[in-house]
Amino acid sequence: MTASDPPLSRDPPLPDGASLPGSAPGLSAEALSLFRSGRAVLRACSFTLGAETPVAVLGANGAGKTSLLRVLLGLERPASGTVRLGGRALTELSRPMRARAMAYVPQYREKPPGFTVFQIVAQGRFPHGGLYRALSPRDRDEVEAALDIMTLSALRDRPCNTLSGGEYQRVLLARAVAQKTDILVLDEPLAALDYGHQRRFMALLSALAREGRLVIMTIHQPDLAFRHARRILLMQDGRLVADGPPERVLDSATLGAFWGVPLRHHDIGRDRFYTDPEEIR
Amino acid sequence: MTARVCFATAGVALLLAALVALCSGRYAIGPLALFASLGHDGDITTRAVLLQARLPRLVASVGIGAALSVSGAAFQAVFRNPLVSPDLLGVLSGSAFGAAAAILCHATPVTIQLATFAGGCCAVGCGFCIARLVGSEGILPLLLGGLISAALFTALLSLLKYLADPFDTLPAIIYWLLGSLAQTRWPELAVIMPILCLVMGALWIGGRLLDVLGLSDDEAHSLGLPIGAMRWGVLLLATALGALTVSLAGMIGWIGLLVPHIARLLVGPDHRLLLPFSAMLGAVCLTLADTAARTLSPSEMPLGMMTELFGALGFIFVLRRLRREGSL
Repeated sequence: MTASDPPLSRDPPLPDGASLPGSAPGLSAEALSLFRSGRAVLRACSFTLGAETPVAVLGANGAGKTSLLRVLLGLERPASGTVRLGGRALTELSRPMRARAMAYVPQYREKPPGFTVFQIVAQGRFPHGGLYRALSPRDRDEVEAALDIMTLSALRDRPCNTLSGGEYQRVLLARAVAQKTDILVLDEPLAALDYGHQRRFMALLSALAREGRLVIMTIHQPDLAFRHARRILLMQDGRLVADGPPERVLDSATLGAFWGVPLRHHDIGRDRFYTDPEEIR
Repeated sequence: MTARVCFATAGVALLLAALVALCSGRYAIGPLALFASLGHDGDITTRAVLLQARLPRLVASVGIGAALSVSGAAFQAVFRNPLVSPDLLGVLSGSAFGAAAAILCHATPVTIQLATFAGGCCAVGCGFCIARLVGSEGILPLLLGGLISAALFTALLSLLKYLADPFDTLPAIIYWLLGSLAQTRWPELAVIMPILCLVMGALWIGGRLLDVLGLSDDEAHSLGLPIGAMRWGVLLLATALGALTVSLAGMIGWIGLLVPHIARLLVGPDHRLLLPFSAMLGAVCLTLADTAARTLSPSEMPLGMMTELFGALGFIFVLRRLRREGSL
């Protein structure tokens, strides 16, 4: 583990308060349901997200994780239920208003040809008026700061299609950071990354969460979720089957029953690993 | 090559192409005679050839080449696909159908032009409606709607050809479909050129919008962008450009597909640079193609055939370059 890693991820927020703004951004879901071709994708999902961040959403493929994120972002309208952002229903907010509150890093997709890293990250300034005019000095500062945080400054003029998957994922996160939102939503950000990049990326997300941002992500690795998340949502067939701190939700009994495989967990320092109890005697 | 060098080179190339176009032809004019004829005591015949035949043709080839290229670049931006051209939504097939229908009715040239434009708009509207039927979001329904609409109007065109009189209207239709600048005169240029310039200017001002059309719908929406409206707006402008060129000069293929590629290789994907550079390059290409079409043989060759010939050959080279750069 690197020295820049967060303190015990499940400790209460540091009392100095310097890194945590007073009003935590609140995002809540009330009885969200969604159907696609007659099939229920989300069933009555309710939760309120706030101070405990990052939030990790775990679940099998097709459990409705991506749909949940899309409904939270307002990209898809739920069949019933309400998403509230800072107490107001999402449907009352205009698209640019939402974009100034929530940034999205979608699942890995093809890299756009030709555009440089700087140009992609600068897209994060669109919700602040950067589409219809040239970048202001403030926009440039924000873009440079985002490049700096993601250690992309050296790559700023490289065309994106020459980057590796890990570098491009960092570019997309930098764009979301440049968007200067209180909420960051990431859909399987680790999917295209090797193990080293996965660990580095999670450390970056933890650092952003410590600055007071509400980070919500879907993830498949329970060990990384345990290490970095402070709240876990476990989804099955569109339903929220568990919601709580990692040490409670990510224990071997819950996860073993969830995936239908025998599991035993081992805590080593601040990490938790999972093994097959029948193989280790 | 930096963008500035590219623009300067293209500018010089455009001037040279214009000079060549004005000087060459069956009535050859030397460059010196060209400038001399512009003075008060210039040769009247030379002046007449220049002002009534070659200059309007040059203006038309510059405008149409630029418009087709800008339209193609815009289409490629919307569909995130380097292999689309202005014909994708059926604008050329629809226009051809409109023209053929008008020719079949022995309409006047002006009516033929109007029918051409109406046919193009009709085909694109048809494509949009089919897209709405197939699905409301994303670019795939648009792509399919355009394909179906283009096929539909191509079939209708074949029907008209079948019905046409083989000694009178059929040759007229076929000649028209080959594309030519021989019929362009000042009055119609005076109407259509300003519109072409306005539409191209609008697309250039919206160049930043074109840059972000490559984003997925989810990404664009989460950045607060009304991507659906932007996409439709750009498509309408690009389609209008395509339909206007067809009403002036018939079907001129390949320019709209090939030129944006070459331009992208030289100045990169930023549309604020790509659009004006494509316009200049398209103007050079079409001017040279038109000059070749009317000088290489005693009787004029069809311009559409020339652009297809050189375009298809040029595309091999472009594809090789694109593959080497890994962007295809």
